[in-house]
Amino acid sequence: MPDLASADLSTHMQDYLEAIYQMQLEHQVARVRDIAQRLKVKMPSVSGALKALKARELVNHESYGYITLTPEGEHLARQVYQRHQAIVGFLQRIMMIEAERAEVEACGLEHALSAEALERLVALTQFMQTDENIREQWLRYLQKAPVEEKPGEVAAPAVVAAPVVAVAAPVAVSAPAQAEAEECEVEEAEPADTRPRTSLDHAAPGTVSRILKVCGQGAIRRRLLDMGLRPGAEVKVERLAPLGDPMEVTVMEYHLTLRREEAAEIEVVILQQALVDVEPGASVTVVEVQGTAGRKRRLLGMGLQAGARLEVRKSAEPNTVAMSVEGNEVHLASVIAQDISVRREE
Amino acid sequence: MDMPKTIVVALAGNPNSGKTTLFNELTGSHQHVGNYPGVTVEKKEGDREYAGHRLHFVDLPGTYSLTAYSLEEVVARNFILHDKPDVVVDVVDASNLERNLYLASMFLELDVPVVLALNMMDVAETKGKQINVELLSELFGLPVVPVVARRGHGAEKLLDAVLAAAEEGRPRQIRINYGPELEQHIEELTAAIEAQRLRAEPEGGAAEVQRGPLHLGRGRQRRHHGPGRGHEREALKPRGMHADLALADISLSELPARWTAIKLLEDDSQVRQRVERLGAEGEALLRMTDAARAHIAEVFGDDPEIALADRRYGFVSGACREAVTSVAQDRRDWSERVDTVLANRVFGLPIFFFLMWVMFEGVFRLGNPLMLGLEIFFNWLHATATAYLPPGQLQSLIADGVVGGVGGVLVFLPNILLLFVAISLFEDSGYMSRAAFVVDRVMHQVGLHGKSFISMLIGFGCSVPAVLATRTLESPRERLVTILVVPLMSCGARLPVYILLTGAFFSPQAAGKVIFAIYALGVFLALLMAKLFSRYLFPGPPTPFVMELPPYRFPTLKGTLIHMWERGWLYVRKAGTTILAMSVVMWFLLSYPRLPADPALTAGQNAERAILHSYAGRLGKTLEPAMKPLGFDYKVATGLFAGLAAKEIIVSTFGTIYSLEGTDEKSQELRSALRADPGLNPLVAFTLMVFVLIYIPCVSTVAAIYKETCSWKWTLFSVGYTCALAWVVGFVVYQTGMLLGLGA
Repeated sequence: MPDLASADLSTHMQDYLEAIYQMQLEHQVARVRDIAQRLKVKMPSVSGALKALKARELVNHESYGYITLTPEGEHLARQVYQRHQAIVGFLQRIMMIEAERAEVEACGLEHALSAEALERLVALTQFMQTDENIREQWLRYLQKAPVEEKPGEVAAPAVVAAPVVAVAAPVAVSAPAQAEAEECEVEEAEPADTRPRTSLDHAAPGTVSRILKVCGQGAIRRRLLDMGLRPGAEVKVERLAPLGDPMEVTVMEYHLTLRREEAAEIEVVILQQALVDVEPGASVTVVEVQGTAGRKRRLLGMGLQAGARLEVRKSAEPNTVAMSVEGNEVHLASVIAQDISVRREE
Repeated sequence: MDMPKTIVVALAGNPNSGKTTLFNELTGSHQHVGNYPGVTVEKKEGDREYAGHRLHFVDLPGTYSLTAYSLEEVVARNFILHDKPDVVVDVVDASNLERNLYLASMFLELDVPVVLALNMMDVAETKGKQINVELLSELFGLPVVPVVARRGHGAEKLLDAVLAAAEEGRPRQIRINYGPELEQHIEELTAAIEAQRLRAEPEGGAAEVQRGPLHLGRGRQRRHHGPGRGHEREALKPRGMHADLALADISLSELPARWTAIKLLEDDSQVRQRVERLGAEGEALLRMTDAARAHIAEVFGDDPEIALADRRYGFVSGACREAVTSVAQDRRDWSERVDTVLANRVFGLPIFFFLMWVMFEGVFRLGNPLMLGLEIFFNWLHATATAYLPPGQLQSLIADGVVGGVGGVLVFLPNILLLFVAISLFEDSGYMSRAAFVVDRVMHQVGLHGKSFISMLIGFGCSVPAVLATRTLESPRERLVTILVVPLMSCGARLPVYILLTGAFFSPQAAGKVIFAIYALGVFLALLMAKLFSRYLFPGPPTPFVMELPPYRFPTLKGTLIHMWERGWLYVRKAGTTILAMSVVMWFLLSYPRLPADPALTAGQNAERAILHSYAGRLGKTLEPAMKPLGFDYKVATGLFAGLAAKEIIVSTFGTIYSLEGTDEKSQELRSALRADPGLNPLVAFTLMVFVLIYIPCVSTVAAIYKETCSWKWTLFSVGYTCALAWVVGFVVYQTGMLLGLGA
């Protein structure tokens, strides 16, 4: 797959790819008319650009006028999109610029920055987020500096959710299930859910998550739906194949395999995972401790048993997990933390 | 005499729901029972007399849904739409109720009498599940009969329910309520479709939707929708494998209106194409559809397909919640514990390779003595035929052509049967899908599917069943690529050639390594070509690897034997038909035009002169210049030509060419004769093995490829590319060897 840097695409073409990619994320397909609207250009220029992209085998022009990206096109478009998202993320979360303006500014910036500058900008964003202390210091500093934003907005949420578009799961309505439906809707409307969202391919074995959205196209998407991988369903990642791909999951109490690229199409919110996979700063409740009776006893002595609440801390040593359990500092080897299953708090 | 009415019953259900087991139980016919998803792709039929009725059962392919995306699903739903069975029995795995009922919910919309056979109730109970059968029946508006297919429980009750359903139709029409928003669109479209029908068929034919006792036996009038001339062109494209299954020859009025409306909203390609063909009115319908789809997408913020599937699941999970009570259940059953070892990240691959090794060791260790026995038998038969028939052309035809040709193939039967036993054990136990899971990464990198691996594995035994086994692959593209590369896996028939040549030109210590190198080269080329084909011939995204891992089950002796017998029989039949015919043709080409025997020469020398004078010999002579760069002379070329019938025939042809009688690959005389030929040396022998490995799959394989692809283009492509590849690789091997001075 070609790299964006080596692909020799004009910024113009990059914008088209990004637009198609975003439309695909939203509606599975793009149409000439919609692209024209989004990019504020005339339809013939869209057709011209599509022809050029098609000649480079980056897009397919399907029947009924739909446009989709080829794998190569999608690969490039994802890079453009990720670059865009990275800049938006930086502007929003580090510069604390409000969402709409961040989008507009990002459009200007993304073509102006060199690859190197961008790389460092991404690194900076990551760095600021890996350590809450640094970010808090920065936010305090920013607060004192004269900016337009109201102070309330600046003291943004401490935990930053991954930039995944969250979509409330459509609620099942049917004759027998009608009663539950309304309760569900209320529950889903609650916005204060801080549980991490990710795509299923990033969920480690042992993770239980609920599906938010199934992306992808045509046959793949339909197949996932028909096998029970639908919004609202709970999936558990059982294991990865010896070569790391595909993965085995359980859904509706049966076992299913899917490749990671298919799992990447499934957006989930994590409900339960192995303690070792929890990021520092998160509060969780122990669901289950696995292992020998001796190990369970020792963990019980530390207050680690089903139902115990704990907060994961940043660990100074490699291969250990630090946490506070009922006010006590506890350090565990990662191998042991692997066998402790915890529930994320909403 | 009064002919009993024939009631056509289609058996549908998820893969691994025990559908085939139930089919065997109901019809008494012996079928394969597998654990691997999609084993029953072929349509299987069987009859049964019950309570004065004749029941004709059709085993539909196992599917999870009824979309236009996969071959099996299209086959299943088209059977229901085209052939209109009197009753559909949907086999439902009670231990996995929710997903199984999702398919049942689709039958609700097909306006066909359905009986739910609730299979594996015993497994559900051990899992701590109590199913309220009456309530389930009520919620779905369908008769529900609990059965345990493995033990044959409940078969009679099921047959009673089938008869009742055939006579009375659906007792109650339950509709899935898709909610106000979707229902509005569905109803609008349904009304438009019905209006179109009324205009199209003013006689009122459209009013006929419900079918009752009047239609008993209607399924007898089969529509034949085989690939006609018009479809031939389409069949050339990989996605055209579905072409003969399009809804082309079914009138819109025969499709349930509500189903059609829902399928239009789901953007079902086949229904859409069918409506398109209506002309202006179809266009109006499609415009309506597009507007409705756009509106739904806006309201739900998602595809109409998702919205519809979601409501359907809502209906199903609601029904499950009401009808199923879960008692405290076993957290991890033994099947899951087995998987923690067999599908383990560390042990998974070593165990897999170990099992493959055990399989091959077992097959060849146990098979070879049996093979020797068969060889003795056929030698005896050959001798008897020669002794009792008057010398002449008939004797030659029977002894050399028929007994030699067919016998030469049948001696491999023990090996092939054992191979199928092993494969059947893997399939029936459920390990096969784990094997696909474990190796998918590698297969995926060359554009294939984990399941392709199984075909390639079978290819070591024989290419013909390997080509047939590609039916488990859903995507026509991956299927075609697999079919094209499977012949590169060195089949059992090529082994005698290797044994003969290594025996003649390599030390016993080196022979094993040389043969292994040839096998490895085959695997390497298969992977390489798969990569090239999927990259350049059919670019596009791969099909999803969304595959069920069924629970492990103990294979039954009966099931394994049936499986072995069915596949073995396929091989025997191939020997009895194609190979027999080809043996006669090859015998003719090798014996005519005849040359009068020269009394001055020995019989052997006469035979040698005769074969070189024959059509085959002349062809070999003609081909010699093309084969020279590979170090092959006309004798080798003649042998290779004879190998088209079946590759092991090369051995016996060499026997004839080198003026020897009754030769096989172990024959010392043939080995010394080969060694004595100045045109042959270890390098040429190795090049020849490489060539034999790659060039044209035998006639039977070619026939199988044609049967599976329905396309002369791909069949000829397969023949053409293997020849070209054989020549190129052979050329490289020989010339490199010459440069390295190995040609001495």
